[in-house]
Amino acid sequence: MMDNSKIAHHISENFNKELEDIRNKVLMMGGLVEEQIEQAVKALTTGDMELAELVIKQDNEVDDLEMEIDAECTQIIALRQPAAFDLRLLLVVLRVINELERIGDLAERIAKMAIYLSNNSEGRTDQYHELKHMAGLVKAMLHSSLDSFARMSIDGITDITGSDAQVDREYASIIRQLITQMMEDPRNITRMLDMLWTVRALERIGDHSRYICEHLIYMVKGEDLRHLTQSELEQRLIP
Amino acid sequence: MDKFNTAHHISGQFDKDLESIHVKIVEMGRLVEEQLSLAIQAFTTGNVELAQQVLSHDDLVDALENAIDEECVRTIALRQPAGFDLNMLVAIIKVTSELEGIAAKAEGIADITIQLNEMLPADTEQETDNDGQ
Repeated sequence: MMDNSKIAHHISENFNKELEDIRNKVLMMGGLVEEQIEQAVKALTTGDMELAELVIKQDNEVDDLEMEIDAECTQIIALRQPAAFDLRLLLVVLRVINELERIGDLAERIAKMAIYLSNNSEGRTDQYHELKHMAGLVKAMLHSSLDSFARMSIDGITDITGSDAQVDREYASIIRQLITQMMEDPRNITRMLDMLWTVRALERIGDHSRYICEHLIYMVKGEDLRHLTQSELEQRLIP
Repeated sequence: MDKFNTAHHISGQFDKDLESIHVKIVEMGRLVEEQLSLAIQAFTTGNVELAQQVLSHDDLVDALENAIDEECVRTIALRQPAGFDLNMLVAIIKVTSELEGIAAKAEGIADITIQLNEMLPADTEQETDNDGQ
């Protein structure tokens, strides 16, 4: 069950409904984007071109949802003239959907790489296992940050932002492997570059998930804690 | 940006708020442009010191982003603008986020410049040592 105490306390029943509606739409958009990542990575590792095409096609839905939520937020700010938490919530929704839209674009990028890799049969690719592992990590980061948004709570949020360092380590490790394989056999280079763009996209998804967490911290605490290092963030948030 | 400069609100303070935000966003844009040019210059000439300067200035960009966002939120909360003014303030929050993203990319270019330099063969390091004396 969702905790509605932060939303359902307004004298205006309509305002409660509007905020609830926005929250549900953001979660719907988040779910769609999560699915996009899942399917793009699956398309790449299994060579399923139809699935890759589907991911590319579905990006329009993500874009449409972003514009729809964006317009609704601005309209509510204008009509309800919210303050304090409500205003921060609406402004944070604008930022969160922007991050989700970027993540959707990155999933689309991965789907395109799936098509390139499938069309180019020369050379070999050994990094699917590592790639799947890294994809699992960033998907978990995104899922937990959306879960925090659903709960309107930042309990345990530093665990999510902390995973970003692990994502970066796995990214660096895969890049090293790719460079080695390029040197071993120049015929691998085209494939390895496509793989490089793919892991780069995953790493960026991790970054955007971290940004979502930073936006949520602002929403709950009213304090802008962007641009801090992980240890600075932990100092500020863990008593 | 005529709309910014025209004092068209009944509240003179509101005009001042918008003017202050305007000055800051112009400054942020200028700083980000400079960061990007310096980062590219550092990369193409292999100038590590310049790259480090880009990295150290990123704090300035972040601070400006925070300051502008805060002013926009405060102005929305206090003045409860509608129509064009509200759209403008919301747009500014989005623009600062884009500018910060561009600055982060400039920082990335500076990072790569430093990493590439570390991969240089040893005899080039010799030259750097001599320069340092």
